[in-house]
Amino acid sequence: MRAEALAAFLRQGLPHKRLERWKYTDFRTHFGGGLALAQGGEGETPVDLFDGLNAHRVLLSNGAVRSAPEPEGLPDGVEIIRLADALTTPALWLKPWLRADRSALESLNLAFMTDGVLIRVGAKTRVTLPILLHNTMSQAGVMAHTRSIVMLEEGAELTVIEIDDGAPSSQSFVNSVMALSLDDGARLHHLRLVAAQGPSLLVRTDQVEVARNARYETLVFSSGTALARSELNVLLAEPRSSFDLAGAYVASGEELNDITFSVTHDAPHTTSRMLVKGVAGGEGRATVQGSVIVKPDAQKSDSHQLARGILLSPRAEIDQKPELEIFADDVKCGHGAAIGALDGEQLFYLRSRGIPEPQARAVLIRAFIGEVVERLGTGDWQARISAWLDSRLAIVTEEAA
Amino acid sequence: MLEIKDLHATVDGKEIVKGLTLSIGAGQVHAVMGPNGSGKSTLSYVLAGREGYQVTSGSIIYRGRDLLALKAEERAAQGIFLAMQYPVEIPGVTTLNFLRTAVNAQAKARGEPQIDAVAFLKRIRAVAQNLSINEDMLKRSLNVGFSGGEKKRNEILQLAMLGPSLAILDETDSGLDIDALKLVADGVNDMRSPERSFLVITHYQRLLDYIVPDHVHVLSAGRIARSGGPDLARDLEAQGYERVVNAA
Ligand SMILES: Nc1ncnc2c1ncn2[C@@H]1O[C@H](COP(=O)(O)OP(=O)(O)O)[C@@H](O)[C@H]1O
Ligand SMILES: [Mg+2]
Repeated sequence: MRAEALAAFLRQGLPHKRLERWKYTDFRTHFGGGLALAQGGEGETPVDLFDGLNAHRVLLSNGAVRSAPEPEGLPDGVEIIRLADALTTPALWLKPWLRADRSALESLNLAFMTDGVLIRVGAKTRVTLPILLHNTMSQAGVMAHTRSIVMLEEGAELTVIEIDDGAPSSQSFVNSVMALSLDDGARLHHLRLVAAQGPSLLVRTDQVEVARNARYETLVFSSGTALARSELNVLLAEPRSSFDLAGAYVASGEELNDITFSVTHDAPHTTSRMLVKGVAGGEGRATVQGSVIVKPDAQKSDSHQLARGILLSPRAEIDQKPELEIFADDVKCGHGAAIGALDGEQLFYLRSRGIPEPQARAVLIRAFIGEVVERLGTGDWQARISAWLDSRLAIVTEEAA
Repeated sequence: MLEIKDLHATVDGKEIVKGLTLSIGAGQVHAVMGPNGSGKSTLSYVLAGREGYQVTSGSIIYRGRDLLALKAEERAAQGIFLAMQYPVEIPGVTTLNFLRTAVNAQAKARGEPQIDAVAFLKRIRAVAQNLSINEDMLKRSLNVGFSGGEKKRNEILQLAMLGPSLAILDETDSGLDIDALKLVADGVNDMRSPERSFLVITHYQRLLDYIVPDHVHVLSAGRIARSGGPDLARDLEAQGYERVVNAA
């Protein structure tokens, strides 16, 4: 399997800008090469934003699971298994999750994957505490290929909070893959905070399959990483399945935040909603690409995607590309995209009341992405994310001053 | 309090203020009247420090300091407040949060302590009630979906909460019915004090029946064409701008 995957990767090579899906994020030019495989273990683990939060915690550090809940610490119906353990005697059920026929980076991941977690939630199980996946990369000059799987059986409900952090002193590459499957009526709330610092390259590919009446909701916040790409591929496989994505990015310095998704409506009465908003200052860049495919069988499907960005500096760049391919006739599909600058009149209004310019910018940007932040709801971890966003906004607005 | 001397200002390269001289003493209320397009709003923006309003010559001294050297936010912290003719809508920012941010930013700039959240809420509720602004409005996005009158009352709410030493009201009366006009005028009159000056810009004499000025000036083609007492406003109303200005 690994050999086959490596062959598949070598046929394609690293992604580059001539590929439609990598048009604005030319991975080859960012990748310095010469990275060794991460060995896991050593390296310092940053205190994560969710320190002290009541959750089932998994720490994935430099390519290896360093800690995970003991089975007796988990509620009935919830299983968390290390991929490294599962791979020593691969069970039959694991096979379909390890396919080599996907993108180049997924193949590369399959060839070199070291660890990850398999999370399984049994039928009708509603997990009250969130599962917190803390993915950290602190080593310099290495690459880590991790793979995780989240399976929700019929009617299960779960919240997964992930944070990617770490600040290696020179380039490191984290290439992670997650497969998620939601059986009938399952609900997954998936929150991702991409918050690694410094020269990290972070590419994440999610493959999601949503069954009848199931709902996948995801929130992505991305800021601070040299290159952070979150790619989401969602298959609405059965009737009345639905998908909701809300994303926000704050790109300062020379960083690149990329949110790319594709949603396939493959059954009738399926619904998808995608909203991505963000701001780029300095020489920061952002890419938002969304493609929605409505298959012939997917009558009465309903899809809407909206991307909006604010540019704070003449050297910042935001590329947005919404796409629609519709093969059914009775559907409701919409998309919109807009990029602008901060409103001068609004800025003056705030300043004329004594709010200093950088703060006034932050207030306006916060209001702009507020629509996404609101999706968080209220609570402990929500407040922490909100505070983190404010700290990122302070950086990008100071830079613009 | 404020000394404007031979002020010239351009907007987009076009000279709008053409040699304006005006002096406002502490505690005084000055009214500036003038036809549409005479440069009233331009003058107010120049005073508030809006970018794009270029002063080409002349000076503005405010409480002994060169006002033109200060940024808009610094002028606000020094006590300048402009109630705008067209208040700006800011989706996603509530009046409440906006005002708390502004009050605290000004306090910080002046080296004063931040206001306690509970005390702030108590004060804003009391002021809002006097202006018939309900609690719900305070929690809505600033000026978004507000009627013309609500926007103007919201400006006076800000004025009262920020307590400036020079308040400039740019056509705060326009678009107000008589009840709202009285509310606004009462709000302003309550704030008159020996330390606080007002520059009331208006197109009509009506507002000046309620906010009685110490001095009235007629602005025409970017300069003060005539000055006088409250009677001048009534002459203007009776005879029109053209005759009053030409008689000067
Ligand atoms: N942004 C602008 N660009 C060009 N001309 C402007 C601008 N704003 C105002 N003006 C012009 O300046 C003059 C004075 O406008 P304004 O100060 O708004 O007058 P008032 O408030 O007395 O009605 C008008 O001729 C108007 O057309
Ligand atoms: Mg005007």
